[in-house]
Amino acid sequence: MKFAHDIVRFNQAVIQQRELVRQLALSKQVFGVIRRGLPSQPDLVPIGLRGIARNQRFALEIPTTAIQAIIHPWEITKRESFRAAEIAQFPVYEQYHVAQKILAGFKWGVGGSLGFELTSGIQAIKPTSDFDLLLYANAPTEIPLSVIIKNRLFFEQFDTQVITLKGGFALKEYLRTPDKKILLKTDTGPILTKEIWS
Amino acid sequence: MEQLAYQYQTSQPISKRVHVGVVGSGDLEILMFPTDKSESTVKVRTGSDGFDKVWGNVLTRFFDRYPISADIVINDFGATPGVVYLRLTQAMEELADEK
Repeated sequence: MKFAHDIVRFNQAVIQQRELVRQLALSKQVFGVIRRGLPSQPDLVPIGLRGIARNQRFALEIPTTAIQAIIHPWEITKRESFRAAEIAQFPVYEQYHVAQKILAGFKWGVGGSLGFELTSGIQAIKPTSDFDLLLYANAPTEIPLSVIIKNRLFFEQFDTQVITLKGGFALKEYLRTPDKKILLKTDTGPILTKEIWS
Repeated sequence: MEQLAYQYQTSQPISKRVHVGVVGSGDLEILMFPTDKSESTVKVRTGSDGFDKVWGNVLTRFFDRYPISADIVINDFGATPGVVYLRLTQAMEELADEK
């Protein structure tokens, strides 16, 4: 199964935009992040490639059959970066270590640049990088609410996205107005809804 | 980081403060405050530079449909125009909500 935020590994030969390969100086093995969205054809997967500059993203589609490996964000939460000592003081890396301690036993994941670096072994995070925390929950009771309440100031520092079977939403918005419509990012686009679980 | 400002002549005062959305990747928050004037001011703080015209288009479309009078602050974190319009619609639903 593939989900948004998963990272896929594939051979750069499948990228038809050769200009992009040169521009991003892609090596033979390419890592892309699965984007939330429907592919233009059923045998394709929408992915994003990271650029060199912050917030630089390149959207494309690759054939499902080209995927050599899928790495889910929840599978990398025990990993350390290949340059752990160098980045030990980066806020994003310190926050990651705190998350490892307090979220042990829950299904959580790392997205964004840190997730990319942990998965690919390619340098991606910077001192200014944000920590992108993902919490996987299929029901309200699966959100680690007691951990969040106990560590309220910690969770204030970055964005947490809750991933359900229907899509993804911001933890902060849900906590502020759990009984109102919130913005749910779904495969067919963002919607305002109360039906966030199933 | 860019600060944009817009002004619209409007006719429908709002009765309460509204806060929707979150400052998070691909999202934004909107704060609306009541005003005594027959106009709306909109201050947009955005991390994505160079979208002055896109913001103008989205806001003009919004005020054409909902000529509310309010002082509005938008803190944007790279939201798409679709998300911006959804959040504005959500703010209108909040205003209509009696609770």
